[in-house]
Amino acid sequence: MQTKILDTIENGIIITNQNLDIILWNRWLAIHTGIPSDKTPGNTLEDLFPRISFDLLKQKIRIALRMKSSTFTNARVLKFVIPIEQNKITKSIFKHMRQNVVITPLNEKEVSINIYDVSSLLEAQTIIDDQMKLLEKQAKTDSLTGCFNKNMFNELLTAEIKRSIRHNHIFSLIIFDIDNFKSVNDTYGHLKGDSVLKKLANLSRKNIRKSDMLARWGGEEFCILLPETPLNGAAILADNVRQKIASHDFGSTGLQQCSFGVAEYTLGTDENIIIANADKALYYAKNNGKNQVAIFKDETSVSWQP
Amino acid sequence: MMNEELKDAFGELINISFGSAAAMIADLFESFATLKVPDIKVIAMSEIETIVMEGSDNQEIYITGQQFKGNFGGEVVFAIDKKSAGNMQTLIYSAKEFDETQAFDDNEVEQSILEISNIIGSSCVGKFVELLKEDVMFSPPTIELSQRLLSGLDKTRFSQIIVIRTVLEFQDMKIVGRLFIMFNNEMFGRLEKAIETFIEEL
Repeated sequence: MQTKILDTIENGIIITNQNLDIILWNRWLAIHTGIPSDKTPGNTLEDLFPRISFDLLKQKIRIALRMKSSTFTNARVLKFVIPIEQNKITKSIFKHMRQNVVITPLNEKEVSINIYDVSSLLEAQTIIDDQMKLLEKQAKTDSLTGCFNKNMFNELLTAEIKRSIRHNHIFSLIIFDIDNFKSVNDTYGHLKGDSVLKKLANLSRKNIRKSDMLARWGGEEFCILLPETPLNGAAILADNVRQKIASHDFGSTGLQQCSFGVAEYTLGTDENIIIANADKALYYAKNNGKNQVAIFKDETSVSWQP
Repeated sequence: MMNEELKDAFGELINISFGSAAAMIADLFESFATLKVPDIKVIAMSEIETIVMEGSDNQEIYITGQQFKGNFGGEVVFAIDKKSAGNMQTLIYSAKEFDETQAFDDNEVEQSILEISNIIGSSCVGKFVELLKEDVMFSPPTIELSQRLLSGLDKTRFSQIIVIRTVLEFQDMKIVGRLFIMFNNEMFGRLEKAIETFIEEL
């Protein structure tokens, strides 16, 4: 009678012991594994699935028996305990059924292993997670260049200021923009202009360090946040990026040049101050002949010379 | 808030329950371990997110959640920072040979955190339940490497939280975690009464 009831349950039930001898294998398991219940007595799980190691299952059974309380596996962490290939008709994204498993001691030697199919749930969760990741990425990045967007950059800058205050670390900011970019758009059209922006972003990305953060500030203006970097180090990096851009072949739109403004964070000031300082230096570089790096130092902007 | 005598009794009770928990965790890592409880406090539900993230230096932390149901119900949250999780990883890989045929082929660190959280949580709540002469069922625990699990908590269900700082000491490394056992006022009151009786009977 009890076995019949267990056969009506819509999840897998195995009654076993520490040696994994199968005492009961319900109908749900028989249907999903293709191993009939009457073939399981006298076998262990290892006999039925010789290519699978059940060491961790044994450990969980041991803990459940010692603790006299249930142990669990979660399908988001462990895909499955019993390998059950998904029915081809269901067209699941998972090859094997994802299982939440509860191992409950029945007495001093035996446990019941309850297996719940959570594949559909996890599939839905996976789709939602993927969509969320995409939305998060879209919210952070500039769709044209793939750089961080202005909002994200503001967040990164705020976080860097907090980090700087906490650890007394310095950092610097570079703001740069393309000289005479309006003429590119006017002469070659906006599609070509966009292509220049993309190429320039890629070129800049390749010439900064992994820890540096590149963002499109807007239009043809970009900025780079350089953690743990003093003013001089940031100016060297800016000049290197400047030279790489100036010598790059942008195809039909010809050579492009950029002007750079660099500022170092001063403890006790906020985001607006470092942005304004880098901006002042950029303005100076523009007015001083373009295609150059200017730094903001001692409350004034000056050309940077290597 | 809990008076000192009650707090000591709580500590004593938790220490008793952690004795067997340590043995099981040692078994899990195939290494000798002791489980210490240096600090216990009771906080209000509104403080949970701040307290869980305390000392994490804004780094992500692993958070597990597990409900226990019955006449005596609540939820257990276990938080462990990335440094301790890294120590756990070192222990796992020094204890086991990597085996491609393992059915459990996923993230062993997350699995171990879930197991530790289940062992510690069940031992602790199990002792409370024993005092109250009740029976509970634990739901499968979940784990997140973010605060998402905390923001998903129904904060209206609980009012009091027992916070237990746990230090698992292995031969040459420590795994520091914090266990949060959440109750509503009624459950917490029942527990306090049961512990008062426990003190009287000592």
